[in-house]
Amino acid sequence: MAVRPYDPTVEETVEEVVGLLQEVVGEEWVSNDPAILIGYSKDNSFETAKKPHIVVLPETTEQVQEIVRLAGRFGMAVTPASTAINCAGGCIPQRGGILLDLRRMDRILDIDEQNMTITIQPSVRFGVAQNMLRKKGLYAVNPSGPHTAGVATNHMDKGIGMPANKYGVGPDHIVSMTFVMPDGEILKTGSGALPGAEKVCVEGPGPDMSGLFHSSMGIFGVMTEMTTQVYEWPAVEVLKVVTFETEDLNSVSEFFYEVTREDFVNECSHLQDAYFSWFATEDDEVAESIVEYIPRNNAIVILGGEDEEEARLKEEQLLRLVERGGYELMDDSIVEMLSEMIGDITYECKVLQCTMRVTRFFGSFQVVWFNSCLDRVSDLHKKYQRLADKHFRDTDWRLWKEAFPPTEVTVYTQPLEFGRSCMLELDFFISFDDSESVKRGLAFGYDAINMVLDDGGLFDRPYGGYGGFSFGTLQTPRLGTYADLLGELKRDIDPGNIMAPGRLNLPLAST
Amino acid sequence: MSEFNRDPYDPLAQVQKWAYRCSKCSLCKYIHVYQGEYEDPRFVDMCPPGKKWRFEAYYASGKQDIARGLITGQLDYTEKLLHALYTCTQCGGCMSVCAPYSGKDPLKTITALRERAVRDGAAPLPEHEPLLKSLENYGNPWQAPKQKRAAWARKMGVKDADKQSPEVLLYAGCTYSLDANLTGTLQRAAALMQKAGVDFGILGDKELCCGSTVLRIGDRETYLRMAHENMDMLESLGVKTVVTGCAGCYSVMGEEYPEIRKPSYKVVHMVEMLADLVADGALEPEAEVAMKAAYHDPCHLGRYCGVYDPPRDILRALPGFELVEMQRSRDNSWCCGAGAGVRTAFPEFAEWAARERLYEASEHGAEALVTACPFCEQNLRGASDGMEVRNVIELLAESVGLGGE
Ligand SMILES: Cc1cc2nc3c(=O)[nH]c(=O)nc-3n(C[C@H](O)[C@H](O)[C@H](O)COP(=O)(O)OP(=O)(O)OC[C@H]3O[C@@H](n4cnc5c(N)ncnc54)[C@H](O)[C@@H]3O)c2cc1C
Ligand code: SF4
Ligand code: SF4
Repeated sequence: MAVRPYDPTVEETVEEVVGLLQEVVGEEWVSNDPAILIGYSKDNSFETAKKPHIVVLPETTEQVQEIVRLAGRFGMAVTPASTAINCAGGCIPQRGGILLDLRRMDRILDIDEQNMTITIQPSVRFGVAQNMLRKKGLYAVNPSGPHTAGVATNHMDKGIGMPANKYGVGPDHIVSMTFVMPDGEILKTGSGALPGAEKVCVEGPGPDMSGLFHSSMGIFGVMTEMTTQVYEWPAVEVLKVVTFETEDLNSVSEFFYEVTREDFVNECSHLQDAYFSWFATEDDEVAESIVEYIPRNNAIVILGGEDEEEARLKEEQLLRLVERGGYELMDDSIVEMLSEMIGDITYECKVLQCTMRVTRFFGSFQVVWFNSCLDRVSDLHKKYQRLADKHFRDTDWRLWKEAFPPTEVTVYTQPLEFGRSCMLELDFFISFDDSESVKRGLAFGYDAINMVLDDGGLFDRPYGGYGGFSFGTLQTPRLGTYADLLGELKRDIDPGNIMAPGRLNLPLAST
Repeated sequence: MSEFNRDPYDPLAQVQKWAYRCSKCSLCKYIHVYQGEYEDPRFVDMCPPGKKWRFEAYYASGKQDIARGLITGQLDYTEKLLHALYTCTQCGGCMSVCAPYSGKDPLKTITALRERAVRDGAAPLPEHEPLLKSLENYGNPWQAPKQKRAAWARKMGVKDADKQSPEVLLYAGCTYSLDANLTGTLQRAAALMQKAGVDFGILGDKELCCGSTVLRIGDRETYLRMAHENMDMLESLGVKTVVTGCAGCYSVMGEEYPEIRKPSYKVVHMVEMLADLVADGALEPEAEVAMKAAYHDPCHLGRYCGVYDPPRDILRALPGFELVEMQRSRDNSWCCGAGAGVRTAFPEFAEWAARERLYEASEHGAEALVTACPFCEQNLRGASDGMEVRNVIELLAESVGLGGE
């Protein structure tokens, strides 16, 4: 296929592509007006603002194929966005071109109650899917995030939520995906590779190609359909909070090692005092009093089962474990009160039911998110705290207006795979309308990411405000042959480098 | 003020902290989702222009980017920019989701954007010109002579508030007093107050427009002039309470005027007063109102002022009335599409939004749609091809035997 060199400064080229795209999707679904383009240029990350040249909103897989082929003809970049709430700069077009906004592809195509799968288009949100599934006694494993996150993109993007300990992370649920490849052809992954076997199993025939697309940020093609596993919604659920008076996270890790190996909880995660207040109230004074009232470190545990009896037995098992370890259980009345306060803002996130409350403080909430092992958590937290003190000690954070003090770092631990590993989130606040704050936040982030990498932490997905930097800029150069091979695959699959160019920082000699 | 914008007169300077801190979480696009509580994925959108045009710019989140663009000088006004800005009905859906969870208020950015557009000479839109001229020439947006404002009350024996010092002023509002299809509702409201023995009067042709329309369009200067004039007049009457049946007048007088200065009177909406009169037994709904209907929350009554229960309390008190709750109700309500100058400038879009609402009502099994705002009534009725659109006031009047007046 002849590639026509594309020069975005040549307005006629853009106009020509706009006209051709309009023929594909209809006039009203294409725009290159600056007021439209700017809406796709920035998110809540440190990624610098960059505009696409054109935004297009297709409705079908066939339209996506035509768009990608057209982009190939003009050598124009294509950046897909499904729900675009990744907050990691993931949908910001690095090299302009076409922003493929898939929000019109938001249909649930099938719920297979018997075989516990759901087939969806890329822009189906957890809020919608979960409500439809719940009517059938099922649920999709969701992140501890807003109901606006896309099920398909979150799964593809290695999403992690409270049930991750038992049910795994995003890709563990994916049965098959349909991709429009950079040449416009269709590829089905998983068992869907074999026509008619779309819903059979997670593994495809022989070497499984699905992994190539996980957290690939759109560089290998556009996912237009996904079949994913869903799970039974337990008839009875009991929420317990195990508390740890100590600041040291070692005891939390020890508890997680035990509770995850015994395998009787449905969901669990660590939560520090500050989180409770963020989730429970928008009133600063109440928030402060909650922090005073609640122990520094807590583990949320959700037990569930077929009936009350099963739940009771599991509760007893938890009590034995708590006693053995010398931990404490939060009084049920306090748990109930907090649940009610949090319940007032109930969004989709199951049981924890938290959402964007974390950004209620005007400053922008930032996370360094990575995978590590439970026995490293305490040490990492201490190092991170020292780093924050070093970077922000001499800042008058109050000048950053309503932002929280950046030195007040919190940590969130999510055990994975029966405690074999964990996801760690190191959090703090900065202020995005203050350039000094942004500058310092960025410098701190770079140091924190390198600290994590030096400590053997892994950034398995681009996530949080530093997403692009941690995953690509700083981690990829350490990957050696792995990155070289990925780069080669990218060159083979997408010789014109049209799909989300500039992502992942892969070594692409030809670009 | 932030370092990015040092112009103290720029309306955007006041709100840029919202613009810069939008986290792109998309919550403002959809209704709040409570687990298992909603039934139908067709009725989850909350932002009418967003649902219609789908590009980011049409949602509150995209407006934050437009604000950033104007603040940094990256953007110039284009037809599309103004279209995205002026198809927003200022329904407050985005505010009701974003503000409690993040402390940000995206609607404030939208209001400031419009003020800035007016200041920059890019707005109001040409389509708004006749309305603004009418306000200048007649003191109302409907191009109706001033004297017509008093016509609805002729033969009703209502006190002249200017001369007879009643306790309560019934502020009729431009739309109720000048739209021939709506004056009946106003007459019934007055008749209900009379029946309940409320000491009230009206201003007749001395009544001034509240200024809501110019405020929402972004002409703050004209709004402030009108608001001051109005407040001076209301205060000079010595009334304790101002009651109005118009959700727009109510929110502007009750929520915006106090930002200028503390008023000497209290502002209530007609449905609040009538709900109290029913609860006190001063009005006794007795006649059957056999109807299965949904209640449509007007944005300026519900989301802007938090009045959700009084209209429902009235409807529940009507014998034979079956109230249907739509999926998008209360703070999750879907706007009728008329507000903030949208019906004037983009009548087809306003009609589309209203049709969506009527469809939702009928899909919930309602035979009629009941509301408490003249703009919603006008717009929903105009879009309806069969479903009846009624006002809470009318239905109550019917039930207490004042239906035919
Ligand atoms: C406050 C908050 C808290 C959150 N908490 C969590 C949490 O605890 N755990 C968790 O897992 N998630 C969490 N999330 C959600 C998470 O950020 C997103 O679900 C996830 O990163 C993917 O984003 P998205 O679903 O909106 O997809 P998008 O933002 O649309 O896309 C993500 C990436 O995939 C690419 N892409 C998009 N669509 C396609 C496609 N169709 N084909 C190919 N590539 C595509 C994009 O270019 C981009 O690089 C949270 C989000 C927020 C805002
Ligand atoms: S305006 Fe508010 S709710 Fe909407 S995307 Fe921005 S932060 Fe989220
Ligand atoms: S006020 Fe209403 S119409 Fe305007 S952006 Fe917010 S939700 Fe959309």
